[in-house]
Amino acid sequence: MNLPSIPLLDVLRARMSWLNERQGVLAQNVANADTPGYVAQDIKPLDFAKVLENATSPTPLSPGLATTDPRHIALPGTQVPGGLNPDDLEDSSTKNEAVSSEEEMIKVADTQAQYQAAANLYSKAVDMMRTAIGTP
Amino acid sequence: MDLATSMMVAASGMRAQSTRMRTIAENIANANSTSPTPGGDPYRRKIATMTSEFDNELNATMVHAGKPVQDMSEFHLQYDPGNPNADKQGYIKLPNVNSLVEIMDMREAQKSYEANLNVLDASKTMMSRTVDLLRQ
Repeated sequence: MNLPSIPLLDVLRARMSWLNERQGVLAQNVANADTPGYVAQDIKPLDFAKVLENATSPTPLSPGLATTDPRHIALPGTQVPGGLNPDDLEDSSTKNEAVSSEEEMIKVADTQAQYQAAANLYSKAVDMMRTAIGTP
Repeated sequence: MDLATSMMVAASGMRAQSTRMRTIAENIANANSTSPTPGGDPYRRKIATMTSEFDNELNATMVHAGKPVQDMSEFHLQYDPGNPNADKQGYIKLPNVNSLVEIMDMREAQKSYEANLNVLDASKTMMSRTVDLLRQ
């Protein structure tokens, strides 16, 4: 059992990498705020059901290593965190308008806070495991 | 897209805004620059331009300051027969710079710069939270 295959940590990892991607998209919006014709973008919300299913299913959807020989040993669930797919991007909410700085700032602050929450939860989970194995 | 990319995008925005600020500074500084020859054209106002460009290496939309273009609007005329550079009718051409417009432009550049700085700061905090996970 490797560390990412622990369901709780896997969910948190998915959450953090999603927030990571979002921060990148928001940075693009702010940087291009004064570019004529640029339309603000955002990424689709994280599908919690899917993440949970991925994390808890015994056989993850994408196997990490190919086993081309019967003597190869398959690694359990090493999922490579995928990059940003173009179809994850969507034009910001309702309007195809120029970037609103205030809206983007709120989103950036929100992303940051969510990221801190996920990071805290991650460290708490690791702390719990440490308590369980008895190291102070 | 990782946090370092977000920071690069925000930095490209800051760079573009500084270039814009330089153009504005040139306009304000030259608001009263007349032609060195009698009847000639004075300083012509410059307009900062910005273009968004997709960076294949970083897989992100960066912003670049384009070449400043010249404002082709009319020059202001002032009756000043005592000026050595006045034309035969006693008029002198003043640059087509409007200080109010320049100051508004300057404020906008400043605000955009600060927005980019905020994104940079948020990304940096997120990154340091991630590094904090190691320090336990």
